[in-house]
Amino acid sequence: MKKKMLCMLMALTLTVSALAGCGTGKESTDSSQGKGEKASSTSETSNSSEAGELKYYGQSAGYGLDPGNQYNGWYAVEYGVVETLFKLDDNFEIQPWIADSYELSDDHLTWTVKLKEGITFQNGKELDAEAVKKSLQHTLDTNDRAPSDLAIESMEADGLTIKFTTKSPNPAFINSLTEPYSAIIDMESGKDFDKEPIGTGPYMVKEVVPDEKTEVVAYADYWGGAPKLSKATDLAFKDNDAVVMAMQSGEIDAAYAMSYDGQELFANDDNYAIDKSTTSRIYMLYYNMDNENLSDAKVRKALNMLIDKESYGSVVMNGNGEPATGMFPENTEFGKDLKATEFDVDGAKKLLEEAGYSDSDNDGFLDKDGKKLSFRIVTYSSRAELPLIADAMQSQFKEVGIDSDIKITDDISTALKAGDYDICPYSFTTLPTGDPGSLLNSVFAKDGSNNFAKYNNETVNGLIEQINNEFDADKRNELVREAMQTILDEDAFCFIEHLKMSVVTKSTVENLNIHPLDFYQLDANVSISK
Amino acid sequence: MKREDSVRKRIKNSYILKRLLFLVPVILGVSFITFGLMYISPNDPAEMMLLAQGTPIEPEILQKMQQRMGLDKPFLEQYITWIFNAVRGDFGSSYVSGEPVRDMILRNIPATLKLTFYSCLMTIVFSLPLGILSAVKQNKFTDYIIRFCTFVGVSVPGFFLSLLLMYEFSIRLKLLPVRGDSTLKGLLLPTVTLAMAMTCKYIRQIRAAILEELGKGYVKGARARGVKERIILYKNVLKNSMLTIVTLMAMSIGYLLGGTAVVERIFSIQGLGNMAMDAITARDYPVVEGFVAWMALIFVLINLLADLLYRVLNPKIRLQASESED
Repeated sequence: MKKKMLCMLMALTLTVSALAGCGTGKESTDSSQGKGEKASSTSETSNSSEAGELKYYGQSAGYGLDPGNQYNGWYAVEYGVVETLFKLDDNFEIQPWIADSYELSDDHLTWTVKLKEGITFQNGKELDAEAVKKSLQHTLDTNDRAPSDLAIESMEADGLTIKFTTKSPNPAFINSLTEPYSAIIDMESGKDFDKEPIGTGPYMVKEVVPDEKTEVVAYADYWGGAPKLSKATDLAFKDNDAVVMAMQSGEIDAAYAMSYDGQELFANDDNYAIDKSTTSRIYMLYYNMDNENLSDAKVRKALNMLIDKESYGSVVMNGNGEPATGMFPENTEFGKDLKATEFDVDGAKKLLEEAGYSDSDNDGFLDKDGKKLSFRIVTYSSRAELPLIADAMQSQFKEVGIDSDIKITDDISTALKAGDYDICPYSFTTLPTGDPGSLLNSVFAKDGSNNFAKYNNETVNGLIEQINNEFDADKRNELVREAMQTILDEDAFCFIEHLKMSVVTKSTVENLNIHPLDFYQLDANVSISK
Repeated sequence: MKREDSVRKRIKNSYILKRLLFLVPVILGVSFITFGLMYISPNDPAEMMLLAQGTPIEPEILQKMQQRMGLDKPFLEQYITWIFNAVRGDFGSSYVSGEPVRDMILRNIPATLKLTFYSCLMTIVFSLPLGILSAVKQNKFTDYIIRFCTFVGVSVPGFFLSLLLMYEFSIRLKLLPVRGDSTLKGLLLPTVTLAMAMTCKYIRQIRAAILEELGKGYVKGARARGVKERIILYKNVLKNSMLTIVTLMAMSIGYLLGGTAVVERIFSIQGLGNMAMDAITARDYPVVEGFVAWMALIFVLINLLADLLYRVLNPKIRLQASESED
């Protein structure tokens, strides 16, 4: 009889739970609480951390941290474990960090960098030029990008002064010293640099558990003053909804890169704050200049008139896009005061008519010389906004009688290299080191490795050449703007949006901001109150 | 008698050996197919990694990466190198993290193993009594209720159930964490999610198996001889329907040990499913290969175990090898 009762009871619980849908786990919850010690610890997890301890989702939990190892320096900088000689401010301007100043020789080949006094590594060892030299040598030996970016011929260390001689004049040399691969670690610590790098930052690595978490603790003797947090833990999540729920349940105090839908839940809630910042990531269009229609500047201008940047930013990108003019953000010296073709549907129609397109066969689409005006839009999906941009374009094009079909491929590079596209929505981080030069060379110069548009303009080529050899910052900025304006005047590309990134925090968390460069996250000023 | 025993043992051992040897062609075949499929997929892992970082891809850097990953070599050379290293226990290193694949798999096994164990346990605890009850009360009210519930339970997708559970127990009641860790508390919600669908499926299968047995002649005979219903049920019927349950369990365990990607992802549990998903999205070939080899191993072993169990449960079932050697 007892057994029967038990069975009935089980059936009942199952019934109730199945009907209630979300109540399924109840019977099991009770059973676990019955085990005593479980119940007592529940409140602790839910109500998050003690004062001074930050738990958050920063997207890099468990990654390696050796600055020399490919992109791992980015993560080490995020955690405030390591620092570079110079850093970039929110306007992408160079500021000293653990370095104090720099000087350039008259032949533009030797950079003399002075370090700040009184900086120590997290093991108490003093930072000097010799340590910087060893650390950078390690990066040059192991990193794929550093040797060509820095192009260092020799380094000379003397006390707190280090002299770099470059192989050729390089106006972007100091910029490359802000790239996290240039972060300085103690090479003689004897630790595994990926698991326990010893840097000069406000936080020391406590534990890195691959795919699970990264834990850092305060370094009390930090040269910029003792950090306000005692501990910070970046927890790994693999699912967007789980991040949102962990924020709601209070398991984490902050989350970077939350899904757009998720952000809306916290947007109008006083218990939370959202910080947003415009980054240098551009969403843009490549126009294939080999296409006979697109080689006509009037057609390109008409297409650019059909791109409603305002609504792309607010609707397609859910408020996370900042309408762009040129390729670089407008808060930079070289990206400001530019003028691009504006949204104007009627103007576009008129231009296309001028260019000789009309709907002569009444099929609803424009044609010229018996050929329908039609484009292949090719893009990729690893940047979720790109296919949406393609869709929005397609419907706008259709309205004025331009036919198009969309192809989403995972292998965008092959399509671009083969010229197997007409219009390609694409996305770049344009200023990883704050220097516009490398991207100009790569995207717009005649033989640039990312000049998929086959763009070739003598004026622009000449300007880029000048930029590569100009050491005066003001003059260089002016040249960059001139080149960009030339490109805009030709409507050779379309620069649609700059991506805004965000961090959602509880209102008790202070100074955990989002920076235009996403590798600046934790610093000594971040705090959390109860 | 003793001699017969040792002969039987020898036969059994040679049977196991044979089945284990069978692993070699299975793993070779599976790994070759995986390698081939990945090779013809249009993405280049080096390029994808650079694209994800978002800065322009410079050809020289791409080339350096491809060389380091061995992607510049022809297909067969890549495959043969992999096989040779794998035989020596070296499954290569992840393209993404540089960690040896063997370490990665070993690191991810415990969470998956725990999840498998708990969800199977929960499944058996609930499905066995309810399945029996449903069969015994065939076409009565209890049976209808159970069948309706299992129908609903089978139909609810795992990701949906896990989100509902999270909402109820983590956000509203604040009892359990959203992030499942390897503690009992952390694994509770994922376990329930996995066990729910399995339990409902099992209840239906167990019910069917028992009903089939109950309809057999020996049950009628036993009843006619006045054997108690309970004894018939537990001593005969249940034992005979165990075969079905063992088969089911073997399949479920194999599937669970491969990692349950959906549940592991939602609950942020670092197990094999998560590892495999990450590897596939990043085209991390060495990890995918290692994972596939692990899956093949698991399935062959679990099936072998199930076959041996069959024999224990029903001695009439002969191991194939013994027949051929007799």
